Amino acid sequence: MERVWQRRILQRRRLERSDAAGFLLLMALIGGLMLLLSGLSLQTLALQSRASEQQLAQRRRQQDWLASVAQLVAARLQQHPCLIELPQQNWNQAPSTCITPAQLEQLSSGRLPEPDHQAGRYAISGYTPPQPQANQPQGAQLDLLWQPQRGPERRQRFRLLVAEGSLQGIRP
Amino acid sequence: MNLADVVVSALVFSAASSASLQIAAGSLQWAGTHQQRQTHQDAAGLSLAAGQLLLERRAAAAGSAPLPDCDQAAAELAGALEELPLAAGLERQLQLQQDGLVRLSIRAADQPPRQRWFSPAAYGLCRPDP
Repeated sequence: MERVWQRRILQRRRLERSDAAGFLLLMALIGGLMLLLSGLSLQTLALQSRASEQQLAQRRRQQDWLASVAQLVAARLQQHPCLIELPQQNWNQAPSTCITPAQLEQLSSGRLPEPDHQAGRYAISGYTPPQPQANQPQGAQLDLLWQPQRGPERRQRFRLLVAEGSLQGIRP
Repeated sequence: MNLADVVVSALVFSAASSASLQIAAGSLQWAGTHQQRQTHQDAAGLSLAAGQLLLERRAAAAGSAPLPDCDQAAAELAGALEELPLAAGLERQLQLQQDGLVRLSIRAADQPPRQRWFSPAAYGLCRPDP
């Protein structure tokens, strides 16, 4: 009888030991997994902010290019003042003493004077001359289309300030 | 529970924690440099905006006396842009280009530059030749 009890006690101790070992391993696995998950979530956050940083940088570059193109186009328009009062569809009817067809082509689309031409091309997609309105500064509308080498096209409208047939500034 | 169980559990836990620490340390290091890059980019953007503001102020101050020579107006603008304060860690480059344009490029270390072209003619500061 005593032997049977001793055997049972031994069996129970063995079971308790294997239970404790399983519990320890399980806790180690759960703890390790949680640590790994927290590390990975930090890395995901870093990767997400890297992607948004690249997008922001791209948007800023496009804004810089478009604002620069507006200045380039305005400077070229200033060379041919007859165009300032004409809508874009009538530009090809401008007298050749004001602008030649080659100059008009150079004005209507082109590139920024960038050495490696990384930025892409621009095109004037619309120009509306200033509408005479009382008590308001006169503004012409310039619509620009930006075609980068990579990525989607972008359009932006600028208002060109006009006084006495001459450009006086640019507003986004 | 014998020694082998303890050793296996300890190995699993230490491997997981060292891997997680490495990942976290890499992410935190990147977050630090990201912060620095962001600060530089913001400062570069401010410098470009300051350049634009300078051009607009010159246009407002010039009134109705445009210069006959746009290259001279561009050179004067470039000189004034050179005088603008610049945040630490940034490098400024100015270049006179065709059509009387001034290229202002602001670069922080290890980053692509931010650049804008300014035209005095677009603001009525000079009268370009046709």
